[in-house]
Amino acid sequence: MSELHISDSVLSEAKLLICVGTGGVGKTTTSAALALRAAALGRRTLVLTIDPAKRLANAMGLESLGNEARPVELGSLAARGGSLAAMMLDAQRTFDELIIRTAGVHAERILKNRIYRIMVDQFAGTQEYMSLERLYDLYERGGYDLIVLDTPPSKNTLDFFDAPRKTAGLFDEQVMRWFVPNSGSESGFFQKLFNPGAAVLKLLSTIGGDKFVAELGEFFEALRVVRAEFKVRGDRVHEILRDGRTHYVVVASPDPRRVDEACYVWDRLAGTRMQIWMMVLNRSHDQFGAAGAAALARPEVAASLGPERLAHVSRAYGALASLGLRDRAGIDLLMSKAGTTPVLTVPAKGRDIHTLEELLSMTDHLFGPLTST
Amino acid sequence: MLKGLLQRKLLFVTGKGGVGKTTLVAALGLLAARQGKRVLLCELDTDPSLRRIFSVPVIGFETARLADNLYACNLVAADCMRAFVGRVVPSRRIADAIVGNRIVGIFFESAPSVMEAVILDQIAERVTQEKPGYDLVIIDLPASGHAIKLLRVARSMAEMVSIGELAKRLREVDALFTDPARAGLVLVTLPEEMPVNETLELAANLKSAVKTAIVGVVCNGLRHLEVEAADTEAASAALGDASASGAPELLEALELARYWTEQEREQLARLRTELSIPLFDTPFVFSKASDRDLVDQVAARLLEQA
Ligand SMILES: Nc1ncnc2c1ncn2[C@@H]1O[C@H](COP(=O)(O)OP(=O)(O)OP(=O)(O)O)[C@@H](O)[C@H]1O
Ligand SMILES: [Mg+2]
Repeated sequence: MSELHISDSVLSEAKLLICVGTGGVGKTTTSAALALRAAALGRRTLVLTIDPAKRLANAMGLESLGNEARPVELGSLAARGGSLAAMMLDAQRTFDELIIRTAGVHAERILKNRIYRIMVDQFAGTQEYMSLERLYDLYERGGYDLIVLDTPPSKNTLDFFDAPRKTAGLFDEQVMRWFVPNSGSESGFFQKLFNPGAAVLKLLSTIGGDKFVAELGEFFEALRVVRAEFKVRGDRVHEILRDGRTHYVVVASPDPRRVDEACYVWDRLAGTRMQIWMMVLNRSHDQFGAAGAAALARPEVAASLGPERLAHVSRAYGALASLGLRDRAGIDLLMSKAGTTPVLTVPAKGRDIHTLEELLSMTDHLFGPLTST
Repeated sequence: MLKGLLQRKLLFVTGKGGVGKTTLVAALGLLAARQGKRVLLCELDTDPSLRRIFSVPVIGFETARLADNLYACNLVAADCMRAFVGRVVPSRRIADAIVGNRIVGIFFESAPSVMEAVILDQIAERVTQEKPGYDLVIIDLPASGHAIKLLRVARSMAEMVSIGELAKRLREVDALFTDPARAGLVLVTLPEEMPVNETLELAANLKSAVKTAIVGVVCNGLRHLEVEAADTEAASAALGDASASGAPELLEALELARYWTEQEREQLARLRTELSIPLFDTPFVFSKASDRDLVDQVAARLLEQA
């Protein structure tokens, strides 16, 4: 069995918590619940989410979430002096704002470039990169004790950690030199001869026409202006992700068919300087086992239900118990993967989260009820 | 209904992560192959999902055989790029040198939409190829957000690139994808509020942004436990002491089953009334011998809705 509860002391000490995991496992809800618990423990907390369910915003008493932090009304949960703000990432706006801040007089030209617009809209890594970009500002000068970061539903979580490197590729000096001839040192005869840029440019104009190449050139030149700033921030974010007060929460499903995904995320983090605090297995059915079936088999229970209803209810319980069996197998596999790192389960619930109290109660499964002091 | 889906040449399958896209791709492929069509299933860098279902050793850029009439490939951007450059640049050696260059790699990886464009090119290539021709190509698209981006690339790049090989190709690709007689999109979802919200949103976004016809919606994973409030109340009364051994588990399980029953009804009704698109339902498979067995059970239910 997984551990029953662990201490929530990390919530009082960490500066940044990052929830990682594949899509559809409940990362966003888990992020919000952890942030709420930290706020109830007295910390000034921000949860930065991606694509939250409207109901989650509503549960936090908000009509919706936006690109700026909105305060959550905590009522009695603020007794220890904590606070909670929630914010949703708007990758497109964040990117534009970054350009406006860093590109000075060139900003307008960059923002208008069609290739830039397409990139902001469609480049696969934009959302990942921008969530880190947003994080940088909030971490450095947001005035929060703790930030809880929900990560985008990438095809694989690797995208998230690779985003800075991938986007940095845009600023590769040699690539820029193809398009912007005087962006580097004077190129010599040999460089000209073996410059892959010449071949690529020729290829690109065969493929896309000269106008396309000209626009690409303008795009790369424009980005050159913001390059230094991007680099500094990228390096700093790299450090923040590995800081001693940054902790990772791997959110996964106990379903053994999805164990591979969780192991993949795990392997990506393990052996790096990124510290995994715990693994949360969400929507587990592991509580459904033989005891429930035995209760149904008691003669007085069977008699009271009558044969027809007994058969119907038994079938339903049997189905859930088979999920229980399945999830316990997944939990065992993940526990052996996690070694000494705690693995905790949150049970699947037959209702939705509608209030702050219900959101907070999700954390009771991890840490036990909040003790009042 | 099913006939309408399978008569097209190109089907895209998409939906939220983990809802059963690959399962549906495999099930639809099997059904079409059994009808005697030559079918190609295309994964986009999601190996080993299909490999696991069909227990075959490799599925790569080159086509692998899965069953009678059923084939699969896994398209990865780098291979698609090599194939595309190979067609544009006559010399194989120069093409390899360009594609294999590290700096060129960085450029293509970071330049917006280039990778997506070559994947679309390769999809169109497989649909139109004649050597071994296919009657039906089914694409296992990535989770919805990425899928819209991918499908939009043809259109937005075509706006930017007006002449040259790529422009010509993008116009062909766009014409194929937006021809309702040849191409269609299947949305997979679950009988839960969030996935259904996302599906409704996706359907609206697709209409305005992509123009590929949505030809079917599959609500996958219906538990069919049919537990009503009367059942949970009767069980609670029969148990008497709610804290007796096993009672909390039993009541919690029935509460969950009742919630699922309610959700299944409600979400199917939403899909039916808010979308005028053929709706299929497929069961949640509690026990199965293998992934292939799951696919067979899902396919069997689809066939009932033919
Ligand atoms: N009807 C069903 N009953 C039971 N299990 C199912 C059903 N459909 C799918 N599954 C299981 O759910 C998991 C996810 O299914 P699948 O791989 O088809 O989803 P996907 O949408 O392709 O996921 P991804 O977004 O990761 O590509 C698999 O382990 C599969 O066996
Ligand atoms: Mg899949």
